[in-house]
Amino acid sequence: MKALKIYFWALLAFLWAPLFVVLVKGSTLTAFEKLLHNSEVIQAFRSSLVLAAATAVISTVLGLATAFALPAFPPRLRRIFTGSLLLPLVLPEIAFGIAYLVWYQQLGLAPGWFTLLLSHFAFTFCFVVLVLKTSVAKIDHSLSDSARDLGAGSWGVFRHALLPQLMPGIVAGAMMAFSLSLDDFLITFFVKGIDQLTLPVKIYSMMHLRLGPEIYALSVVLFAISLISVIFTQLWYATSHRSRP
Amino acid sequence: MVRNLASLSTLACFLLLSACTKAPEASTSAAPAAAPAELRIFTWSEYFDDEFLRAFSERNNIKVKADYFSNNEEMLAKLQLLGKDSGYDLILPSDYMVRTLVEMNMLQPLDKAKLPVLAEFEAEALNPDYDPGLKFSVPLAVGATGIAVNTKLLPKLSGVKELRWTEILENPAYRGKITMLDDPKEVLQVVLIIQGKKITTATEADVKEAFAYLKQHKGQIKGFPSETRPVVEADECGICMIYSGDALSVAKEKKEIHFVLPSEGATIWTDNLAIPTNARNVDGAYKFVNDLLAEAGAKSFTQRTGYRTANKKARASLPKEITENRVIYPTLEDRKKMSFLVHRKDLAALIDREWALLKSQ
Amino acid sequence: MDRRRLLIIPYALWLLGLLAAPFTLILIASFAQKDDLGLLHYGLHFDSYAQLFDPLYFQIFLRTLLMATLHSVLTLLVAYPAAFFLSRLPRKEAAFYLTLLLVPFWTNYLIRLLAFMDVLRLQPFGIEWTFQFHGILAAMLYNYLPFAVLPLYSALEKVPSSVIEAAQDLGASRRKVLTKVLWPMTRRPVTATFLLVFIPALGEFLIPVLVGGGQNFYLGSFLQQQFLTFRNWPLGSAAISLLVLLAILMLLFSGKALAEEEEMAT
Repeated sequence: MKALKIYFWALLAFLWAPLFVVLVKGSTLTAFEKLLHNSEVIQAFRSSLVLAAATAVISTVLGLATAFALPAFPPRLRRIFTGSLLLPLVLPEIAFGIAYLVWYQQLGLAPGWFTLLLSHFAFTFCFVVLVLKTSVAKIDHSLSDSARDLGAGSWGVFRHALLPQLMPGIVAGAMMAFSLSLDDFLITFFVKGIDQLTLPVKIYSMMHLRLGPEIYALSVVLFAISLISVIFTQLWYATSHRSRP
Repeated sequence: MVRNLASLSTLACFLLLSACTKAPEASTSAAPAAAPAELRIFTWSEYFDDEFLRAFSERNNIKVKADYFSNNEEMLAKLQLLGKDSGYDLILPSDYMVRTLVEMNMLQPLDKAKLPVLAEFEAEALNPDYDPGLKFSVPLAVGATGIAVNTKLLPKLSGVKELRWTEILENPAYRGKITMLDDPKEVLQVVLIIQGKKITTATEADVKEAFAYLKQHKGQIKGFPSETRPVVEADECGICMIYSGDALSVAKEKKEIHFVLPSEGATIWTDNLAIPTNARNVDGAYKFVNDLLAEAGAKSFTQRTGYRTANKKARASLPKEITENRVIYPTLEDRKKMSFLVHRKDLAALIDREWALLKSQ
Repeated sequence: MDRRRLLIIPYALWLLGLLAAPFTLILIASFAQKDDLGLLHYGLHFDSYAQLFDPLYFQIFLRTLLMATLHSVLTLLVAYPAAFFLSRLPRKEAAFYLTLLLVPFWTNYLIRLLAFMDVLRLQPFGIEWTFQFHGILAAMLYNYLPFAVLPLYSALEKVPSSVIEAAQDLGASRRKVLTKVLWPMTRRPVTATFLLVFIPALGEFLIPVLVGGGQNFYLGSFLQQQFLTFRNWPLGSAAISLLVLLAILMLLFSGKALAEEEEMAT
């Protein structure tokens, strides 16, 4: 076990090394200064966040619906549905990007926020369903049964008996959709209109020149936020535990 | 559970931050007299920095929006996919791509009356092979593809002014130290030049012979990196095929990098401003071109990017260290040995295949 | 009818409108012909499929297959012990370590990759990594590791320590515990994880191009080139269609084989 621990820490070092590079390059005053002055990068960042949040919400809600629907079908159909959800993992993104664009044209949709959101929903949806599927399967139905016995309507059952149990899965699914959307470049490049600029697209366009320090500074900011929220919740959890009678 | 709460709060923080960062934009947009028209350009990343676009926007009450691409084919693919109504008012194709776009009826003819800046252009720039009479395009940047030599890795080459491709590709001393561009046209051009042929008159046999030569000497080549700058900056190549402007830009920080034009000849290329057929803000496009390529604009463009423009007034007023820099303004002798890339439709499939074969070896 | 079935409507719309439709377009494009200017003429031409059986393209595919297989095996080998370690820890501690594992992925993919390349350029262990095949494997491992650790952890967590202890009490060596206890219990998730890491690797193009330095052609960059540089959409579409077929077959086969084994075991 001791050996495994050392092994794990070695693995962490491997994964963190590039992160240190980013933190070092991004934690300089010039980097931050450049970031604040680079309105395009900031705007791209904002767009990416909003898009990712919207994608997460839509994918999670519809994914949850799907996860609930699946058990209502016979096992063979269920397997086919699940299998189809695995297909997008298989196809190269470039195929999707181009296919989506052509398809939207056939439908008469101009490239813009709607096509972008639609596409982001499309490729995150499958991941979310796969995550939520296991959550839904693990539900303890005794809780919902007793809630119903006590006279709760469907929404009440959902809100008080099912939702708390599903929370970990929902959050996991939403986070997955959020980060997939935030990171996407190739599909976005094809389906977006000229008014949309996302962070990965902006970074890609800067790649040929030199990745300006402002990008690293932005990464530092993102990283700091994530770190702070983890520490915050650790503390919150610790204190809330103490306050329990 | 902790992890999930952490994730939720992270999400919340992200959203908060997104709300916070709205502030800067609100404060900088003072209400203009009339709603600004938009100018949408599709361009290479290095040519227009935010400052220039902002200045132009303010001066002309036009909001400039730029989308970027990294190579011509990417640009063409996207334009093709978007169809006639691409939404762009101005695009920046390279020389051979202008010709392709014209053949596909994707560019509108230019109204010379609206381009007074052309009067300031060098005569020889006004009638290139790829667009005779500049009917559809206006050259912005003129550059060359040559070699960046890293004298730290190859000290023997310090101070060298002449270098032959045959020397590079055949001398075992350079084995594994060479990188070439990830562009079949450019690489093919090099070998055709070495073998005394031209792309305009090349035959299938010529192409096969050229690639056979490359396959023979592939061991000399370390790779075909898609981004040359980071490779040069990281000292990963002693002899790196590179665009002139990139080399200059790296050389500013790295003193051991020197740009050399190969003795046998090199590729000359231009990136050009062109207006797509269904552009909406055509007037804005013309304004942009005139602004960008007038004497002052052209001067600062060259100083910023290291590529010359065709504006002779700009050339006259640029400092000597630029006009006498062979990298930016090659001599007549240099230019005699330079040739443009050409897209040979009849050879395209063969080149595609040979390139894949070369890389798969 | 179970009213829950109505909830399947979003999925159905997604399936038809955002999966079947785009893929059908690709299928149609694969049977088209391209003219000199790159414009498509639709019809039922098998040219592009015939072209794919060119030994050259086959070579590219095989090389990609090899890379993906090596990469997947390597990733699983590295992830399994890590997942096992996590599974023996109390939940809270495991969550902490897992978070540490995932933290580097809170940065943008491209930035992470470029930063990783900066590290590679320092030539750790005194060897060159960029422009090398092993560099590509290292970068792939770096990128896919969490995708492997998470499902394996989830599976290994379900293996009660009592089972392992019992085996050890009965005198089983560590190797025996691995092969006779852990492996049979986790074979299915391992296979699933293998596919999860293997199939996307087939289409990967950024890493082989950036880290490998364009020395060789892999399926991903080949597709990129066919679609963008040569605008040979029929050929690119044909390659993708075959790739999808391969993936479907793999999924079907692995699903079937595992189901059979489960049947045999009971």
